[in-house]
Amino acid sequence: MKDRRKDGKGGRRTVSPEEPLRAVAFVNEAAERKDQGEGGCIVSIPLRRPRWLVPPISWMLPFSSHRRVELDALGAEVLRMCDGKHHVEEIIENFAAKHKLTFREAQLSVGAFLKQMTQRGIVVLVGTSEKAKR
Amino acid sequence: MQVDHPAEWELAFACGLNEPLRCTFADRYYHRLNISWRALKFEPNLELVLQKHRRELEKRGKEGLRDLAGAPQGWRGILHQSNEGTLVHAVRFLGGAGWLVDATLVWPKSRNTALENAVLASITALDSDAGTKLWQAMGLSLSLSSEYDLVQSNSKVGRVAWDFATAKKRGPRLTVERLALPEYWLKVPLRDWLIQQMPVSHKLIRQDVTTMNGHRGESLLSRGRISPAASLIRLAQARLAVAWLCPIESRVYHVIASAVTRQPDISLPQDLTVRCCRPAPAVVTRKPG
Repeated sequence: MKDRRKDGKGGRRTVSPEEPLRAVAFVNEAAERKDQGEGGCIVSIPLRRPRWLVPPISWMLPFSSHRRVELDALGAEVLRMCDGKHHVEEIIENFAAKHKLTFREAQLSVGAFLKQMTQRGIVVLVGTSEKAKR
Repeated sequence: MQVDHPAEWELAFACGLNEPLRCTFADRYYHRLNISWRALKFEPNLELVLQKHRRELEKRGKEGLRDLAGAPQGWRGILHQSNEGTLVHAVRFLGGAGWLVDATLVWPKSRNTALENAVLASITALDSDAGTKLWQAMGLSLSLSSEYDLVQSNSKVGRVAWDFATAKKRGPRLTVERLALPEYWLKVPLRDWLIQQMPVSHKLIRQDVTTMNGHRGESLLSRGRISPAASLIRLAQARLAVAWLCPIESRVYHVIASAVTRQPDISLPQDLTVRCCRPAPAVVTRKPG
């Protein structure tokens, strides 16, 4: 009944199916939001300049100081709920209730969205401990 | 196959291409019910079938298997209990349909015997009445003539589309779609949206207002060329698209009938019934922790 996944130290830890849903979602404090029309927004995240990117390499490889992600109205709505007060499960429930979706429909779309946001460093999911909830 | 299950168990997997046919229902965290079935010519010895399952479970290190007691009539099974939960494996032969049904239930915490028995007792072979078949899954529910068969199912977030066709080569085809979040993506009136959905190679013949399940809908008839040779004998692909918004479900239904024909007009299959107006799913809020 439990998934076994590597913990990054070579050992193995057990992850129950409830744990990802009970994580708390935070937006990266460094992220800047700029609202757009129709409920959408642009989120920009400052990027760390790689140490090796010095002249003359930097003359050839342009470096952008920020990563910008444009979100539509639905994405912006989910991002607003990533305030460190809501579990992923609550975000999915709210999204499903608002848009008349089943839990699974909402889970698929919100889950995929949060995965992309975490990969881009905009959202952080913090484990299930109650201490994580501010 | 018909089964009654708790509303929070949703269809997570369905496979109807090869035997045994299979579907799996899951709650938020676990796969809760798996049903597979296959047609048999003769009634099997259920004890032998169970022995096979018992051996497989024992091979996977599941010890302490017990016989399932108090199962509904016709069901035989075994169960495995551990600290993590209970696994119930039951089999039954549905004599009328000639199906051997295999059901696996997972109880992650405490086992609910009453619910388990109710689910097992509800598993029956569904009779198709008066030559129509019921197709129901992922929020879409429709009845259609038995001559049509499902050839493709496409399921994306908030969008379920099924394609049906008859056994005839170049016979009529039917696509039924159910789309969620209309307030988000339906930026133009339904009438204009239908035109946007029309294939580029098609020519608009007629657009009308229609009524579907008591809702105001739009219909669009178009024709498209198949090949120059077919055009010579006036054969073309006729396509009738009908769409309506169900405000109760907050879903757009989109039905497309198409056929290669000389006739200028085409209609939806007469015995097609697409059900809508079912109340929106209630999302149960849980307090984690």
